[in-house]
Amino acid sequence: MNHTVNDRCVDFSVLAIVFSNPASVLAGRELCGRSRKLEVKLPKRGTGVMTTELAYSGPEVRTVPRDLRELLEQLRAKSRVLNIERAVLPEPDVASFCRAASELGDTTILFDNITGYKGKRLLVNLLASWANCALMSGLPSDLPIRELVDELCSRADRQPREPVLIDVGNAPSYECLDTSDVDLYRSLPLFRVNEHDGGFYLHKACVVSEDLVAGARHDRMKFGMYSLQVQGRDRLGVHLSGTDNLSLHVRIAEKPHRRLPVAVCLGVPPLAALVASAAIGYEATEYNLISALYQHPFELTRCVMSKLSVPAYAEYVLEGYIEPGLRCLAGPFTCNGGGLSEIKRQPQIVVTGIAHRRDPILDNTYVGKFWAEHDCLIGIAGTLRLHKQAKDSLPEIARSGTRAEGVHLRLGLCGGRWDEKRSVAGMSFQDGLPAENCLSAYKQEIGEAQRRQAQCRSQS
Amino acid sequence: MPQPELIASILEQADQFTTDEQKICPRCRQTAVTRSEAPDERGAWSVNTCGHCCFGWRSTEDAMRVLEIAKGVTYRLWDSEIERLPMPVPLSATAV
Repeated sequence: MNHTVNDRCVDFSVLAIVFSNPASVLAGRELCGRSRKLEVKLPKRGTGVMTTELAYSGPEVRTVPRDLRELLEQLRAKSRVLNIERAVLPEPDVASFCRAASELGDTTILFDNITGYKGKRLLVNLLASWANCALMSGLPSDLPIRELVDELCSRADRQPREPVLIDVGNAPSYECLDTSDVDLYRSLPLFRVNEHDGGFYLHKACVVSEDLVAGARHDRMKFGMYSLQVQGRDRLGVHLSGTDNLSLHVRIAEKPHRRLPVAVCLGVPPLAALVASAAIGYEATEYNLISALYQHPFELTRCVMSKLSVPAYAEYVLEGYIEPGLRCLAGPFTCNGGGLSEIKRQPQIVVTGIAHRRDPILDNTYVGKFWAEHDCLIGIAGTLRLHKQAKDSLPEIARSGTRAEGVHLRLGLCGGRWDEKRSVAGMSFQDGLPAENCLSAYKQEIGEAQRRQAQCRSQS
Repeated sequence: MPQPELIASILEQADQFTTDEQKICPRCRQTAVTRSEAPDERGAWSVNTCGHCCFGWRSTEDAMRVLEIAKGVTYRLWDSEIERLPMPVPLSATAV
């Protein structure tokens, strides 16, 4: 019922943006020459790679990358990936590269040669730029942010799509499976993301869990992104807030003192990572939203040790459970913005099996004081959530086409984090960067602000 | 940015690190430390994890430096402090 309204909304979104933001008409650069209406062709299914073609009425035809590897290929073609081939130590080299990349801009780095992890690859800062986020959505890399978010909101508004379940034997995630000798330190190219973290963190881990009362239905499973600390060969500490979906599932499972089956997915398809970070609510189904964003059914497969459904194209799937009544110390770790979290008593995941693709790529990210992947993810995901909440509570939102304005609202709420230079100035300096660097960043910003002010004055 | 020679020297220093020291967690001073070797290049590094406070460090890094900046908060974790640390997901009566 809603989609009728939403379809109209898509058609009228250009007008809505124009009317709601006359500045865009004056600027004339974002909307001119490009229709906002998308024509969706049927997905290509066959022996090769399945993609969904999104045909702009403009000249370019884009494809939504199905998994991390397809996006990586696209980024390579555009020289947007920095490949570090020389031998590097996990600490301090990898972390220093990450920080430098974040400080300098939005460079995505692929490490091929980490000492002690021969043959293992590590990818960091994959979605740390709007251009990469546009590419992951099958859109032109130079698309303005507001149009990118507007397009994703439009896709989310369309007819919900059900995911498809493919046999585990055909799922790339399960090309290799190890259940006998689980050792996370040997399987994953880990590194200390920030100098004072209490351990080795996975900041882009997507955890699948289920409501044990509701049963194993994919529409009752939750798929969320959490920070995990590797705490042993087969142990993962999970950073929970107490109000997230996984916390709720833990509470439900602990009442009858039952183990909660979980699956940790690493290197998931990029749009799945976006949805996992969105926290869209307990009643919503993440897998349906991912399908909607992809515009074709999202491919899932069934875990071998539980009934959970996981992305069929994840790089790693760690199967396991949360032991009831057990709390272990987790933390601290450097949060987005640079502050150090508290040490907390958190539930612990026991990993019983590691499945992965051949020649897997671990997708991890830098989280800290500088511009990072989470800034992009949280920004887009937050706008998706804001748009959904606004649409649910205020039906006129769907007709007024205020999605693009929602972006600006979100940008305003996030304040300084949306401007790289401000993010340098607005951070908290707890993790010991030399004071001179901090000072120079402040000085630079003050100097720029003074110049801008002088320009405005001279123009007025 | 360490060059190969520097990497070699760091690895050499790591070899000289006595195993006795690595059996004690630098954060909580407990001896429940487990060790995991690198998957290849045996001796390149090992990862130590404290079974008591879950602090983890690699043999090629200075664990004391990791704890240094947060002095007073994480440098030394006493058992009495652990009991007072926040628990975002409280244990239910039946789960204990």
